[in-house]
Amino acid sequence: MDIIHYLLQGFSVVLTPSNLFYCLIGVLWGTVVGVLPGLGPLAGMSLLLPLTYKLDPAGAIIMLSGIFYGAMYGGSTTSILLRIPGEAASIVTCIDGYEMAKQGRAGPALVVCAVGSFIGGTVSIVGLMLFAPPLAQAMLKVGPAAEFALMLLALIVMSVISTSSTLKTLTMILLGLLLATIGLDPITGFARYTFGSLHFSDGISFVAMALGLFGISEILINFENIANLKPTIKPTLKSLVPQWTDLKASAGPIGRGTVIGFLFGFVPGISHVISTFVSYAVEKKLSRHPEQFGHGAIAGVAGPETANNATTGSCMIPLLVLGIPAIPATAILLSAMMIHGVQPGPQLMSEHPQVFWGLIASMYIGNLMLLVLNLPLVGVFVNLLRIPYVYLAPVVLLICVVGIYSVSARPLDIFIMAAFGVLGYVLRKFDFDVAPLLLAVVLGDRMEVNLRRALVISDGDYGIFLQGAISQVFIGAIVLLALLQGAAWLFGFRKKALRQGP
Amino acid sequence: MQVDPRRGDLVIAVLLLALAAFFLWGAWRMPAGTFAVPGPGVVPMILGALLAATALVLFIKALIGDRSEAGVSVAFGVAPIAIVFAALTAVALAFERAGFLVTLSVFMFVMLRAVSRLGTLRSVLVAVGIVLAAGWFFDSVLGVNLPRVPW
Repeated sequence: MDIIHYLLQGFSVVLTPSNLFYCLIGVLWGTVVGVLPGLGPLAGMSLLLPLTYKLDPAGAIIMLSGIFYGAMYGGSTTSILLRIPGEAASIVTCIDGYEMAKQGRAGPALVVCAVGSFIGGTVSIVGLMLFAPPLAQAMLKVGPAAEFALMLLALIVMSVISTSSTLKTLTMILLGLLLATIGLDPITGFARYTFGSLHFSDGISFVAMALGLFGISEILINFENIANLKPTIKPTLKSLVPQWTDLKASAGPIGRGTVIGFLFGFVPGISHVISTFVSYAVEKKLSRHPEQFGHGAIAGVAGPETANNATTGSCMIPLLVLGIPAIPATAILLSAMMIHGVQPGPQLMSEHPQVFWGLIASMYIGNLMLLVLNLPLVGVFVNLLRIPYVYLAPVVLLICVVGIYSVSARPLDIFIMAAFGVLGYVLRKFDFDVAPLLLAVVLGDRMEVNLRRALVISDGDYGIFLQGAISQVFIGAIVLLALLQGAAWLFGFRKKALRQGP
Repeated sequence: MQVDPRRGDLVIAVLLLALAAFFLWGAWRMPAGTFAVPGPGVVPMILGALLAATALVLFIKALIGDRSEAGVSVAFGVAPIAIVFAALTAVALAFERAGFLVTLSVFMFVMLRAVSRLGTLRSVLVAVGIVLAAGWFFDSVLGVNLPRVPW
């Protein structure tokens, strides 16, 4: 009953005109960045992050999370109509979605995507609501040693499942952790790598880094691939009505996609992308007509699209309960929360219930908004692709400049953003995944604090990291992962299979 | 410009080694503390050493690795990088001196001339129009304090 009571409180936070407006702006902007190739949820959230500083914490988090799950919806539109994935989680949808569109069945594909996304997203929120409170209670007993082990585990899992090589991902993580050491030492206040400048006493601006690594680098990459994107298939409202057989064929994949997506949401890294591949593989395996996959099977659209939306709720659990962002998008949410003085973690629910339950309630409403808005507005979103990128890119750059300046009123951050943009471009060109770098920057400070606190508590005894059941579980998982990784190297497993897709 | 991915990895590895050396040099000058109470230099020292190690492995792999595994050469857009970086650096330098209206109008004009086929006059009009609209939205609607023209 407590959950219902708190959820109603959450709805009372969201159902104010201002927060409803922020939710609407978030989901609309999310859909737009999801539709536009090259601007995924990360770039979308990074772009609007500086503008949320003027809002209250609940409004800011509601808007940013709206961008995240809105992008999941939007990404499918271009996959189906143009065979261009708006963002990485929609790659699989291209396979059968575009085939359906070519057969004149774009409408049913879009409807099934929207309905599946709504169901997956909503069930996932219920899971978040049910799992988060007991997990938070358990986490309150965790000490600094176990917390350090948990963060280390999160980074190691990231390095194992990232699409770039483990060595390159580890290098990015180490670079991120080192960048996090810039600024005042969190325990003694000693200035590290600041060269006496006050500009760096709080470290390098996270927003400048995020905007550079994801926003600017994305624009630089897209400058090379300015294709003349013209949608050739334009569905009308009438053609959106799916047939009964489509709905029947989608029911199972939507159900399974929900479960797969929810479970994969807990996995740090690129869970929303992996869940779509797994869902597609499962549907193909279970189908009585696997030969139809790749030729317009609706199950190949319904399952993966549901799965990627179902990750949105569960991937919030590590963020809200543990304070650990499982994926880069939630790292940006974490940053936004911390800027507003809200520390995610086990105490979030008791210290900032309006943020926690407001976010959950906003996800229900946001998903509903997306369902209602997306189908009638599909034509509008597709027409966005008609805006030539040569005009769009300078406007996005302008938003980046104004956005970053609005955060700190320091022109230096514009330069830092540009520098990280070039760095991100170069790294991504040579297959270095920059997402782990950003996650490491976010976690670095807290990892160091927990490591040093644990050592102070144990009087320098490193055995503290093996004491206590929770710590042992995390360290055991790290060792297990290391062994599995070693075995994979021995048996010649390569990540190429993952990169190539199904 | 086409770049061999192994050469790219080599360059990045060298840059990372230099960065690791910088962090190690900085950490060396910080108080190290004790085992029980680690000082501010300990974590950067450990991380710097680990980064140096991974960068070295990356360097060696790129140097002696299997050429067939390297993949196709990478298209590298030097011109867009140079234009965007130079334009943003100029914005950083001029933003508070010349005000947002002048700085961003010039920035938009340069970007439009660089990437679109718009003529000079149209580029000026579009640039000023976009900046005025953006200025109104950010300044008046969102309340972002943008630097005004100082004169």
